[in-house]
Amino acid sequence: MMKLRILTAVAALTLLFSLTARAQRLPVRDLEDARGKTVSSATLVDHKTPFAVTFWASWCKFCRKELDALAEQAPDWDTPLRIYAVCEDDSRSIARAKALAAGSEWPAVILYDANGEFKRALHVGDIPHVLVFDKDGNQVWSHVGYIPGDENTLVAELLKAR
Amino acid sequence: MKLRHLFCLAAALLLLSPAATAQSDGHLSGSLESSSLYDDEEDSPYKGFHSNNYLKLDYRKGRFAAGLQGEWYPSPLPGYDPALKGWGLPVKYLSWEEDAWSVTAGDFYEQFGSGILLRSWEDRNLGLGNSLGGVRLRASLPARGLSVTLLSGAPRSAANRSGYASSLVSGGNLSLLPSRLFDWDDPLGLLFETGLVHRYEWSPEADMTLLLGEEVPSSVLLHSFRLSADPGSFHFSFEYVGKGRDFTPVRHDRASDTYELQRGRALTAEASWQGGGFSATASWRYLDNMAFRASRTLGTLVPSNTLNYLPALCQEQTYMLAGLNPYETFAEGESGFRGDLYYRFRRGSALGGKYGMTLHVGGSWIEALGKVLPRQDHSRLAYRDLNIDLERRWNRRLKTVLFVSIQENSPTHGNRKATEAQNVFVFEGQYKISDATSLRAELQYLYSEERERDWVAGLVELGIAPHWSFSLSDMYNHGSTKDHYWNLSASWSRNAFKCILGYGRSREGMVCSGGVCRWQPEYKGMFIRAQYSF
Repeated sequence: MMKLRILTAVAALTLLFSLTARAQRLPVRDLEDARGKTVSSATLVDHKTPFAVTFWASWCKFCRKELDALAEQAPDWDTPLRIYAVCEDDSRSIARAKALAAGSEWPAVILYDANGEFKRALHVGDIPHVLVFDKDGNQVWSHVGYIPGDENTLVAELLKAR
Repeated sequence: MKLRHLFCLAAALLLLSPAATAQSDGHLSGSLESSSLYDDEEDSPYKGFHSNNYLKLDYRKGRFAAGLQGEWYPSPLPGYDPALKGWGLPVKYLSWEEDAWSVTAGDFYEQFGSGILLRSWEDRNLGLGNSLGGVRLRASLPARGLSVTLLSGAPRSAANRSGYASSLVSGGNLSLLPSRLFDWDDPLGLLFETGLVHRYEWSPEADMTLLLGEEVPSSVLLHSFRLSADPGSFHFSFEYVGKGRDFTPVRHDRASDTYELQRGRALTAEASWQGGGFSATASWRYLDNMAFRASRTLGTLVPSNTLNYLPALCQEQTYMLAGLNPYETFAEGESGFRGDLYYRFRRGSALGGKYGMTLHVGGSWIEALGKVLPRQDHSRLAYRDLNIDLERRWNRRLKTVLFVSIQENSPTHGNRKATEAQNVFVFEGQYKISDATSLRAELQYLYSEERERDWVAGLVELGIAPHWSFSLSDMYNHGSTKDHYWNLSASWSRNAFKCILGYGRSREGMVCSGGVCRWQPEYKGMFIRAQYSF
């Protein structure tokens, strides 16, 4: 009975949070570019266009499928979309991730989050996880997981946020 | 009592949220994650209900931030440390961030360099969380290419769900860009990093002193230098980490373990090049006595009892059979090389076809140093593998992957000549039935003359975007045990919520994440996993 009460309390809290929560702001954290130079996440906000942040890793099959799917439809986009692919590979596989990204045609700026600080600040658990922010850095949509076809929803959400 | 505290704190933060957002830029964000299993195997030692639950909350208002993470394990999932059972509040912090500096008081995660010197991080798949509880100060001068981190804190206890280990970790890390600091025009793009970490352990156990025959020092000091260069499309980095004398088990030929005070060192070098659809990377790593633990007596029993990151150098396998017998780093002494080549056949080329094709060839070769485990039969090979995968889209609907992995593993980390070899072959196909519906299938075969010999595995997955996914998989050992390990699952996701419900049987073995592994017992039953962030 006690366990049931606790579970109910947690579920109620979650529901309450979901009803009261406002749009999450893009947290300011240091990331790295492919050359190891520091890039603040604050520079992603240009106050002109919305953007998407998608978390991926070289060992995450579905993350790569999502980025491949975006690459396949990118030539059909009327205007370029701003997508940042934040890599969660750690020191073990970051070289492989960089080689993989360099050899791909992903329509995204690749950034690296070596100890997962940016991911933790955005409360991202499993990846792939994609978040869409408006031009001022307010989160307007997020989606966890990837099923083929989800890339269409992402593009639609990015266009809607314009 | 702790339960009340947790909910009071959560409720306070919750109440703060709408008011704060209405009046200022105050904001509450968080996530909830729950993984549960009901093991219904009659003779299983894990029969019954098991669950791991995490609630993470962060509140931010202007430059101020506060947060906590509550964890609840009514009965930890099989393979997780049973001592986790109950409630805990392992992470709670306050922080203040200015443009040029920030200070954090409480529990935090940090990494110096590549993590060989120091890494505290969380990986829930491993039950690993080695946050440091104390104070951290960060300062940076981007215009001068300088950044400094100073910290001091007690590692989270690996022996229970909350509390701290009886050790204190203090250290600092400095990184600088010489080109900005000295106003150079630097075509090499040099980046220099150096760090120092000190661990003080209160009252090292008396039995350690008895085993060693002399007093075990309380303090251990580590230092590191790291240099990277980026001339054009070429990248190079080098790192050295030195470790002071520390308590180390040494395994001799015929006798049982003995213990010595030994120094440690690690060297890593990495080079990569890219251009014209081609990219290549090569890494070399040398480790000698580099295990660095919060509690030396607890050893390797619990994954969280670590203060640095020594992942396996080889590729992390993602296909079921390729990852059946993963390699774990031998921190006491190994040396290894890894190389990866990628080539993207461009769209419209003869081999690339209309949609392009990607080829990856990678391999690793790791040897035991032979210093800690004296080599016998003149063998030092600890692990080697060769992986080839070819990915091609044939048309708008069909995409295929061919994957081959040839692996050879020494169960004694090079101490005996005998090794175990396995060859894995995988075919994966994905067919898009419509814009929202897709079918994915994997067929895998493992050929081996050792251990459990041959395996075959298959997976079928139906995706209905944007919410539903169903999968059915089976791994069957037809070489010796004739065991099936099957799984049936359905997942539903909507925005930031995802839930997976399934039923199946899991094989006993090592579960690895990011190159760090934990042992997982066999279980069979229903599982549910849900996560939500806001």
